Amino acid sequence: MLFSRRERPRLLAEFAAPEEMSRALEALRAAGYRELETYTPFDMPRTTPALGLRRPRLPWIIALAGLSGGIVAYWIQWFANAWDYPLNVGGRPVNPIPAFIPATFEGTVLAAALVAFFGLFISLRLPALWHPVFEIEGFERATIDRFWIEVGGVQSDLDARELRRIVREAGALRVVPLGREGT
Amino acid sequence: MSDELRHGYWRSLAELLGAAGLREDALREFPPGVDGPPTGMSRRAFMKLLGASAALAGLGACTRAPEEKILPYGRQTPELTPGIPLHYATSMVVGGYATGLLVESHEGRPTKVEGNPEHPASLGAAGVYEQASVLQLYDPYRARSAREGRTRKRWEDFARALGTMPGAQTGGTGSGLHFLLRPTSSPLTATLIRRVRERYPEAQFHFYAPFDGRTGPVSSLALLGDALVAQHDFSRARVVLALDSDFMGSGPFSLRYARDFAARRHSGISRMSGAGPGPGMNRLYAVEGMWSPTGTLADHRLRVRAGDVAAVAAALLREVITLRGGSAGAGAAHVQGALEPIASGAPAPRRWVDAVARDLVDTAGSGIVIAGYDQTEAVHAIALALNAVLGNTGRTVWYSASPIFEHGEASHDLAPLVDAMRAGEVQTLVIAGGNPAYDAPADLDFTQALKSVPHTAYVGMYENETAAACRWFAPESHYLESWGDARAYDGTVSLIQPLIAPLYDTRTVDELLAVFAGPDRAGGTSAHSMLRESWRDRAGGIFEEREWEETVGRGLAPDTQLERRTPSLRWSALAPLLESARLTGGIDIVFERDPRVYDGSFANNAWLQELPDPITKVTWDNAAVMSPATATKLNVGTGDVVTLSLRGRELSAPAFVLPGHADDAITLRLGYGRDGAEEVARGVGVNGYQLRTRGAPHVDGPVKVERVLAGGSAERHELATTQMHWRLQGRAIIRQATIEEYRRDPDFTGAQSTQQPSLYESYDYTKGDQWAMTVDLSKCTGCGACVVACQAENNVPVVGREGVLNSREMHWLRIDRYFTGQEDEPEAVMQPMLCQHCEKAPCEYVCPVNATVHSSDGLNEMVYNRCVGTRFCSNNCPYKVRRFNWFDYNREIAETVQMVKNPDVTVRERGVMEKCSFCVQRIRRAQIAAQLDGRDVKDGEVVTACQQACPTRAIIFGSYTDPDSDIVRSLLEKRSYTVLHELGTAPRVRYLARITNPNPALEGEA
Amino acid sequence: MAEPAGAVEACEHPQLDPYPVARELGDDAALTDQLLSPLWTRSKVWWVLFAISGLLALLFIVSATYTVARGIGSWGNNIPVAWAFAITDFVWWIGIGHAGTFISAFLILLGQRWRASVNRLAEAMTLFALVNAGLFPILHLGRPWFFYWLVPYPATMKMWPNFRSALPWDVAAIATYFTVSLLFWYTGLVPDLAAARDRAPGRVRRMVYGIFALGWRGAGRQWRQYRVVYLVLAGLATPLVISVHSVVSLDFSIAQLPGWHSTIFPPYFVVGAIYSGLAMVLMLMLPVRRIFHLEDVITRQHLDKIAKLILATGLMLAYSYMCETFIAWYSGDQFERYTYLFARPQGPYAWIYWAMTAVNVLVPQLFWFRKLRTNVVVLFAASVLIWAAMWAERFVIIVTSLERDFLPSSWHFYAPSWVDWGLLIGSIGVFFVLFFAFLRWVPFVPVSEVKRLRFEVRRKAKLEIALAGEKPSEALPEARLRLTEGER
Repeated sequence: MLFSRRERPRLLAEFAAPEEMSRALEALRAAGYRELETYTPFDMPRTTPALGLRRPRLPWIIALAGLSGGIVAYWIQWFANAWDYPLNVGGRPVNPIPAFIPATFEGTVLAAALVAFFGLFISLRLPALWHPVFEIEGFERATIDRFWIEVGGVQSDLDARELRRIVREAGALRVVPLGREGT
Repeated sequence: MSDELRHGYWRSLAELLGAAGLREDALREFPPGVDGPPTGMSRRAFMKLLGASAALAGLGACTRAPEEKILPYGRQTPELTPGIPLHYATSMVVGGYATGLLVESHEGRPTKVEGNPEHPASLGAAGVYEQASVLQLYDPYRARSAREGRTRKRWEDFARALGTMPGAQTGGTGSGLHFLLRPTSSPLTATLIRRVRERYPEAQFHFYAPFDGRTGPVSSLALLGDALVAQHDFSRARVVLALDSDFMGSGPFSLRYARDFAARRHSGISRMSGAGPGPGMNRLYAVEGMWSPTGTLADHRLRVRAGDVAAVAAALLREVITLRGGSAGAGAAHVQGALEPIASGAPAPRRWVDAVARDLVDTAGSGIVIAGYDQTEAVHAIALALNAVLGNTGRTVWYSASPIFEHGEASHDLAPLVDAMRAGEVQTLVIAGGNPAYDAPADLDFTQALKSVPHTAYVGMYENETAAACRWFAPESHYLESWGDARAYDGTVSLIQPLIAPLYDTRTVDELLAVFAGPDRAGGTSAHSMLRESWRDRAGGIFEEREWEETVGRGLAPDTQLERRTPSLRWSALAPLLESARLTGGIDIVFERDPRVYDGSFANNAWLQELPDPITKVTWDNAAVMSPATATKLNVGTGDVVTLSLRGRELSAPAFVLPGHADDAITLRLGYGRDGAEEVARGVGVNGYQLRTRGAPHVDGPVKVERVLAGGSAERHELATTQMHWRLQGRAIIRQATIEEYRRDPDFTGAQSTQQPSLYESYDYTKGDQWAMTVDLSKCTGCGACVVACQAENNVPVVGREGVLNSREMHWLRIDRYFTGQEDEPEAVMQPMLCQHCEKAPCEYVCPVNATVHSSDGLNEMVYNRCVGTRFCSNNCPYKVRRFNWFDYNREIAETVQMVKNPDVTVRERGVMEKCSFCVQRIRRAQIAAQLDGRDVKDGEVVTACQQACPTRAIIFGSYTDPDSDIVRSLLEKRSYTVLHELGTAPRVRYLARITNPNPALEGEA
Repeated sequence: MAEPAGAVEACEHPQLDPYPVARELGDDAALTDQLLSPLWTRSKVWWVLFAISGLLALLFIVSATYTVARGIGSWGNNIPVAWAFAITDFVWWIGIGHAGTFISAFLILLGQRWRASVNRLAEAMTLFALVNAGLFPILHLGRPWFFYWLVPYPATMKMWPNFRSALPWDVAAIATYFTVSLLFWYTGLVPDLAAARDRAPGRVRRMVYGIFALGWRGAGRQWRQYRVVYLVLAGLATPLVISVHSVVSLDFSIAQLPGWHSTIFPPYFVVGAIYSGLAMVLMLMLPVRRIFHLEDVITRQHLDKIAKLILATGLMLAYSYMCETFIAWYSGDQFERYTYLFARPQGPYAWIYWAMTAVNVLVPQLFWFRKLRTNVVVLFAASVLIWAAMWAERFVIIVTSLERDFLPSSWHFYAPSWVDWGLLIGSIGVFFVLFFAFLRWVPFVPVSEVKRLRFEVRRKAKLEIALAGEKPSEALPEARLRLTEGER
């Protein structure tokens, strides 16, 4: 073992065109690399499978939030008008279900939306204003017109050389190890 | 502080708010020129300061109780609401006649006026003047100190100065000393006048009021040989013919007459619909030019010019005499000739005259013919004759000496005085009350004549036009600050006792006269001591303290009516009187007392200024009222300014087109266009007195009417009316039927009285008190007493002319006036409209903050403190009875005016809704009282302000869970219905359909 | 693998527009620069416009202050017309807001990818319209300082709002709508903020944009999660936008006032809202497109499509007009009939009624013709007319119904005061102050979405060429052209 598991290097490859990047990605995956990550200026849904991600749980959480939001909203109305301080208002019943529906619906949506929004950034560990990749010189183009692949789990120098070959074939402009200035 | 002490009321919000920007705003919203002159500001600023200083002085005085012992009203009668802060009996004098009142006093602060149930002129009711008079007491524009020229003086200085005036020096004969008083019925004043005359044999007394009703006594002087006034008993009258007489709406005893007439009418309706005993329904014929409250209740209203009423009356008399034949009496026969020339010109359909004459004859002995208070001698004479021929005299009609001192005598004519003034015979003129410089006949030019009088002194409540024309001025006390007495129309001697010590350095007219009369036998010069002395005299020296207390406590001396007299008629004297009956061509102008500001003496009362005219619904203005036909002929519309030219005098006034007004006549209400120091009254409306002459105080003509053109287009003056539309649009808001129809189909309102089906189970409204109200459309004259009563009881603010123009009036109770029938001969119907306290109130469920909710006893409650002012409730109220505080109306009023507020009712802040509460403060007070005695609230224990004021008892209020109560009886009347029933609001206010009793012989006539 | 619909299908969507982003653009870098440069380039025009709207906003502040200081009496309102300008303005603005959400949420669900270039602008419009919409109901209160009484909070006196009333529904709806729109808008903004961070000149700008970008890296994992949430938010916003104006319409239809008490109000109001909003989107888009030379990003295709939507919603609105009038007559109810057949068409405000009916029904008919749909002048004129006419529609519904209700005795005319006008015109100023600030400091075209769109278009073009077989030279010149652009 040349490197301890902790110091296992992560390499990044920069591409000029999305097509090249996705080609490289496919190749890497074929070559058995699993710790893959891409950095692209825009969303590229087709590259997602190659990253081998788990099914997201967030939608279910959001649904749950919506449901409880609705329940709370109705409960507030019922508690206020029917339980805590019932009043004879225009001879109407104290718990008029139809009248309580609109606010209940809004409560549902509000809760769901809040959870969706905050859930997104929490699940992405954002905000995180600093990240190792930002240290790589020229990485800022990742949000403009450059496409990057990050590969982890490189076992050995042999692996590394192999990996370099693959991405270069795919058209990588350069390959840099994360944290160190690459060649 | 000075900001807090703003002047009392305002004519425009711009003025009220003072902000220049907003004044422009007001002008933008409303046609320019509508607002008061901008130059007024500096003067106004001065007035503010004046008001401020004096208001403080007033505050110091207000809590002080009078030195003399005043006595609370002891006797409890069913009409009285127990538990209310002390009530004191007193009397208010309007036009010389007293009306007995009970005044509610909070900690020595009078806040509300009610009628005195024991007083014959009131029977518990109180009219608009009485209701509003309490505001006048606190009017910040009342004169506060005496003055000579421009320098302020004290009353004592004034009294001293009077003593030095020529004719008045002690030992003098009184030559050149003249007094000008209002016509008075006060025994005390009479005594004092007598004593002054004893002391100054040559001193002369004159009496003047623009509406003194002396035509009656004058005609009776001729026909009956003595100056008498006619008295009537409407409770026994089956048929009433009102000859231009508003006997239910205005004039002395109108409250009593209205009560009697309505009572008879109601029992008639109940009986003829098989629902009760009592006499049959009475029938009312009205002959009039301008709508009067009485006219709106008439079963048949003949629309003729006031000037032609005499002719119609003559035609009737002629017809009646023919029908009565021999029984008419010998003299009757040969007046026929004299009647002929006038009668033949009568603008009345033959059929109408026949039918009415026949009806009068059929009910001979139980009918009443009553002539208008201000009508000519001729009309009074004919009425007198008619009653005689019909044998009503002695039964429903009788006569009595006039309670007014020297009524019908020369002293009641202003002309001799003015001549004397011009001739320089008048050295000293002392004017006590009234406002002759403003309201004297134009042709006498009183103000000019006044200049030729070296010494002039005026005592009055305001620094008005007359005060301005006199060298000396001293302020007069308000009746709520005064001791005194006066007679009611029937002669009953009524006490005036003060509710509060004079707010300012003021005296009463009696105290003024005492300056000349000197101290009485007991050495008193104060009104109180003089009053007691004069009563001791009348009681023949023996006068028990107890009796006195008894009398003062009750406010009247029982059994002091003037004796009934029924002298026989001198037919021969009739003919000459008829000469005053005139039929002119061209357009007549009719001068009328205003139902709100009277002759102008109440012009500074903002409550009255904002009270809509019963018929035109105009506020803060008077107008040249004319019929649609006349308007078309003159090519003018409502709001167009027209010039009225009469005998070389000119006056510009806005026109108002009124259906049902007589053609070729213009009615002009007097009392406006004031130019005194009264800020509220100043510049409101036009001064009709400028056209009114001594010869024709009531009707004059022909008048030339021209539209005023301003740059090609007609000059306009928007009239602030509270009701823009008077058609019912075929909506079943007002229900009415003739007594015949009602008998045939008693359930004609059935469809509008049942409970509407509902998806919701309704709340239980069967236990405890369940408040409800009925309003009887057969009785409502639309006089407006209830509106002012409500305003006084519930601290309802005034919004001013701009406010009304923008439909922001705050009245919790309004009276809707609709015209029905044909355009040219319409009927007018009055409908008091207030919160209906719906059991399924549309206003409640739309309030986002539960600020308006329902109480367990069926009240639609308004929680001011919770209201945020979304105004959704008003949008959703189909009756539009909710009122919104657009500005902070109550922070802007003078401190004196704050004293009129009822401490039992919240004063609302800006931005909250308000509306009728069924006088919840009275309900709760009664409930607490009942709880303390461990009993239920008795029927009649809770009386709403409107109900209490109503002269005709058109409003009934109570809890329907009490089976044996007036309200239940009233609710169960078949003709009861709810307005906008189809909306399913389930109102607690029900209306009793209007039942009329037309003459079958006049089928299809108006 | 959860590939949310829309996102991917859209790529092969048969109707996918041939060139939603036109050819004249450089590579991604150039494109990014063009779209972001307004954020750091000075502009005189901008300052002038910003100053003008600032003055108008000042008018709003003056009027509002005056209202609070003096009371609602400074408006023209009265009894019976207790609601007038303020509520009209409120409904109008909130209606306008709806188009933004409609374009960004609705169209994404329907896979209308062309929306990419315009949705940011539309969403911003929503937010700023909502700011105004939120102000009016509060100003309108008699005691605005107590507005929070409409919110359920545990008060010592146990005083709760009354949820039977539509107004607390309003509070809930508007609050929710504003929050969700803001979250939705910000979420969409993050990648572009990151781009701005990485492109902006000067340290300060970098730091500011950096902070707001929250450290976005465009990592595949981020994009996946982002995609999911963005769609969920779109899914929530779509029913929300419908519920909001439905609730607003209930403010009127739960009342029993003739002219308000109508069951077709919810759909009728929603359609009207989107209609007016689309008009305003055009109103804003056309000048922006011109000033910033975005003809290649916001193409004639976009104009054409929005015009079509206006036509569609316009027709629905016309139907609603017919429907409510017919029902009023058909109901036989005398009060309903009076309001619809007399008070509105013949009453004191008949001229407004007829003007707004004419504009709202006739003007959209222009858009049957493609020529007019893509004619900038016509579009702008039409959208301004519709924008104003929709204000008039709300005025007619609110004021003419109140002026003449059940008892003729209480009928009264309404006339606005200068404060009413000040608030209306001022609110437009407030809107534009916010809008111009947005143009100046926020990426107003979603850069990353445009890039993605371009990429997909290109890939599709390649596909077509591949399908065309051996002879690329003759293969669809159109597609080839695009291809070369893409790879230039």
